[in-house]
Amino acid sequence: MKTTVRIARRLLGEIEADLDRPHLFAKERLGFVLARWARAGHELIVMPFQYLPIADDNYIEDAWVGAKMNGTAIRSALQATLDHQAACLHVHAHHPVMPFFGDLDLAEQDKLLPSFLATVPNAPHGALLLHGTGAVARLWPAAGAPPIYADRVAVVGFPMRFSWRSS
Amino acid sequence: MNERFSRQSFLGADSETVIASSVIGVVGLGGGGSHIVQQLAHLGFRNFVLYDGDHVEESNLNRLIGATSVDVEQLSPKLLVAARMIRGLTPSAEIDGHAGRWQDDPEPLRRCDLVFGCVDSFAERDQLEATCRRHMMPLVDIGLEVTIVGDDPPVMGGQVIISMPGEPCMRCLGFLTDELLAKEASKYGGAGPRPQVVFGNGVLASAAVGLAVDLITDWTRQLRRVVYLEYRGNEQILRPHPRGNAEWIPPSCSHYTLANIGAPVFRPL
Repeated sequence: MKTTVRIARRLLGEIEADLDRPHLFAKERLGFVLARWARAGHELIVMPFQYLPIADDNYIEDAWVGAKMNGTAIRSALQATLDHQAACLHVHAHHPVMPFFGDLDLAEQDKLLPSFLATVPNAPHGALLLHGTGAVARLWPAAGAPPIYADRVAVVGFPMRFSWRSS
Repeated sequence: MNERFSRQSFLGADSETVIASSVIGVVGLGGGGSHIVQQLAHLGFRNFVLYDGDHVEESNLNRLIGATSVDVEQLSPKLLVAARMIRGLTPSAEIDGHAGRWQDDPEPLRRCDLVFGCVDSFAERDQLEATCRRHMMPLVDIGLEVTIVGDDPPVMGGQVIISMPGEPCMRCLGFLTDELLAKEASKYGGAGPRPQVVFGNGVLASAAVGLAVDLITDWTRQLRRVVYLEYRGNEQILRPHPRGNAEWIPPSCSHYTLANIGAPVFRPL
């Protein structure tokens, strides 16, 4: 199944502006974005529509990772997911030299995403990584299905931008 | 870079890849759409979703690019003419063609990265824009109209509009209004054949394709906001419409909000 994430440039700007803000102790910021989705034949289109920043108080100090959020942040995102009957993507950013999820990212996603899949089971939840010049998305197309990488992420706006997954 | 595209390498180092990978929808393959398909094929676009339920008639030959008198005799679908034109330049192009109304089978359209709207009515523009907004697809709309009143010279006008999800829409620009849609609906069936001519369609189609290529390649690095161009065919002028000025249009769209994208969902209260 081919999968595309389409995100509005304005929404992307909102996300980037939040993730760029310094935090008292966390070395980076995290967030969630709610998304709708649509089928187009064998293709899945995932379309973020609302960003959910994580409040300063909901970060946990941990020298071993760039940022860690607490249970309140996760519960809040789960509630928004339920309220909107939406998909939810965890969002963070990497420096352009690392345009991919790290091992720790993947492991944490594997622990985090089942809760979202249990909340709105028919939605393609996942994670979105911004890396300066592009983006990567890893999605669980449905509850019980293994995660897949989006074939591409399209930024919809002036101008358009496309990030392809090469492999 | 492929030798075929060497003369358009100025569009950017990755323009060939972006163009070849993009999925382009063209709704309406008549006077405007046939020009657009031809130019897209020349540029190297190779993934198409096409819609048109009409076949070629004698009265189309004054403007339908690619059509021949044989197509009239054989009642060739306009879709076939468009596909033939594309395959003549790119035999391996992927064409998802639909010889019918897009409203009857809208799902394939959702695959598109960008949609060209070459439709006749304001109502259909309204519907197409709503679908494009729901599925986060930029819509490049073109339209040509020739008005004849009494003994005055005919007046030819038209428009090219980029409707970008998250940005002001055709209603925000004042191009589509409820009054206009109601007026059109009241004339349904009584309009008769609409005057159309190849050179007017060609101007609008070229501008639309140029804007679309700029949108996806960013070769000018200038296209940063909503586009509303007006065509004054009698003077051979294509220029920004006054309603496209930043001072006039709202900063964002209140008609199509991001919260309403995707298929409608049931949310328990």
